[in-house]
Amino acid sequence: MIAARDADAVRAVAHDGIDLGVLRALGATVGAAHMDELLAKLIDDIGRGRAAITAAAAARDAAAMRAPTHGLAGLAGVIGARRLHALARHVFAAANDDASYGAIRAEDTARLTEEIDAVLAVLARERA
Amino acid sequence: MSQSATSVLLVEDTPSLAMIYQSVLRRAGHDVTVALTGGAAQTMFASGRHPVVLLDLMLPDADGLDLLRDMNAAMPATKVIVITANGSVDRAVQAMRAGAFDFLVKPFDERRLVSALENAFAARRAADQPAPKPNAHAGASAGFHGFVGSSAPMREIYGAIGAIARSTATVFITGESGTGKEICAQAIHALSHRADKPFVPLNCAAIPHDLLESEVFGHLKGSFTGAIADQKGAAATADGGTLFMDEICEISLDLQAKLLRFLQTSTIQPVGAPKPRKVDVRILCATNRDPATEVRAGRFREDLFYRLHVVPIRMPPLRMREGDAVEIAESLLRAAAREEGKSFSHLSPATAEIFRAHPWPGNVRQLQNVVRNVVVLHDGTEVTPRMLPADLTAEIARGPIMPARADHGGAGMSRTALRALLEPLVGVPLAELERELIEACIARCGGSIPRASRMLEVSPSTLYRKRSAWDAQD
Repeated sequence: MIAARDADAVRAVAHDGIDLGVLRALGATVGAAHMDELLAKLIDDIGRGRAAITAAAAARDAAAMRAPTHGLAGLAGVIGARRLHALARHVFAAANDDASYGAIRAEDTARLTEEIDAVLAVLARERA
Repeated sequence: MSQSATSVLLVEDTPSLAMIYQSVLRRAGHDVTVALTGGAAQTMFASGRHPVVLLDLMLPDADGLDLLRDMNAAMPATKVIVITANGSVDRAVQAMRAGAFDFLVKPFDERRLVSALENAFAARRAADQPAPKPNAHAGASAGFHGFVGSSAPMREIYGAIGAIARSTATVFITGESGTGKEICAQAIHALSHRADKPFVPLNCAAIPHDLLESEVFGHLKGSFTGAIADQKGAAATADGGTLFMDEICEISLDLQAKLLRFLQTSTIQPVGAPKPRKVDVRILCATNRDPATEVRAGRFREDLFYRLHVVPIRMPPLRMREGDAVEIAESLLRAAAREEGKSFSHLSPATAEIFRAHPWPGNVRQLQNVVRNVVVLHDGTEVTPRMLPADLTAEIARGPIMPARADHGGAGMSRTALRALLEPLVGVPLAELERELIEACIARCGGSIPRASRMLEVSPSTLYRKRSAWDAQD
């Protein structure tokens, strides 16, 4: 039988694209007393990445797209946000492939920002 | 200037990640200083307090590679471990060539981080000791650690091996049969800090599926029918050294799950053992298949692929190694002649020309068999065309059937050979063939769509559009 907390984690992976088991293991790493600080930093970092991605997409600037997608890919992988990790890597690869922005598709950046929002929502819920 | 024996400078521009790494390292007993920018890192590094640096390659105000070079120039004894979210071999090789001690590709687990740090501190302490002895295989005529050949593609391979050997990263070696994948693995081991520990090769295709798990992880006596004694297993045997898993794509999905767990946790649990135990093993693996195609076909786990595919090395086929066939043949000839008590020393100019022109579909292994055949059946000092085995001359006459290769572009392949290759595929839907061919080309080009598009002679946008449509279908 799945414990209620595990069932929550399964639902979270299925619907929000973040593995709460991984996130909570990080809580054990930093210590319960510092979990709120970690969640706040994650929300800040991911939110800052989102703003940079939105700005790069609006300006169609491939060079400006590289750093935030690279950073998000790394961060998402560490916290168990697997879909976000894959999407950020995909857009980062496209930004590297073609300096003229031609390889970056609007649908992909839209999916990426949607996924960021989903992950931010989970982090905010965890923090509450 | 004083250095704490365990002091680490962590250069990471993402505060949440810096906090996580700092927590892990402090729990492991290290004193950690965090720099969130390249500028701050330079200032803190100049204090000379940090024997080991963990450096993110992408920083907001500096190129991590430049910072790495500056650090190495200023304090060469410092061990710098680079971190990147981009697992491209070019970036990793660049970093290692620029003097990085090791590199980590995000996401990495806690144990991998701590292990890389411990290796760096150990190397820092042992900096004054002599380097590992050269490979025993590297005889005077053997070239680079068991390899023979000085073609440009092989010089690149030697450079990559030299650059990544001292890392603990997993290396995924691909290439056609007979291209020297195991020699490559042995060379990496021989040049690593693990050279004095075991190198354990395991051919996954040669072991029955139901025995492979106990071959890799071991078993206890009585754990299953036929387990008449304890068996240590290849992973435990390789503890401290290197485990080379050849034909990795042959392992079952069930064992792939166990291998993934092993890579994630660095623990093994022999069949029948009550609890797992930690081991320190570097994994090298190889296949003559295209692993990306195996992943798409559902025969190889994607998560395992990404765990293993940290540094890919593609061994070039002999036909791409201009001039190497003759160099290798003469080296093999002299060795075989010594063993067989013959006096052969070289190829005649006509034979050398044949060897140079032949594409050698069986690669070095085929060349080796031809040379051995000549030495056993003939006498003399010079190998002439009439000494060549009949199957080789027949192959030359009809034109060889080449393995399917994207980098060959099909342009050098006869229509007959191409038809022979395609015959087993008759009946497969065109769309499926197209997707497989395109993905194989992209994989061959290291994921670069512009390069793949040049190989396929289509525009990059065509490939992006097709991939997008496939993603939507999936």
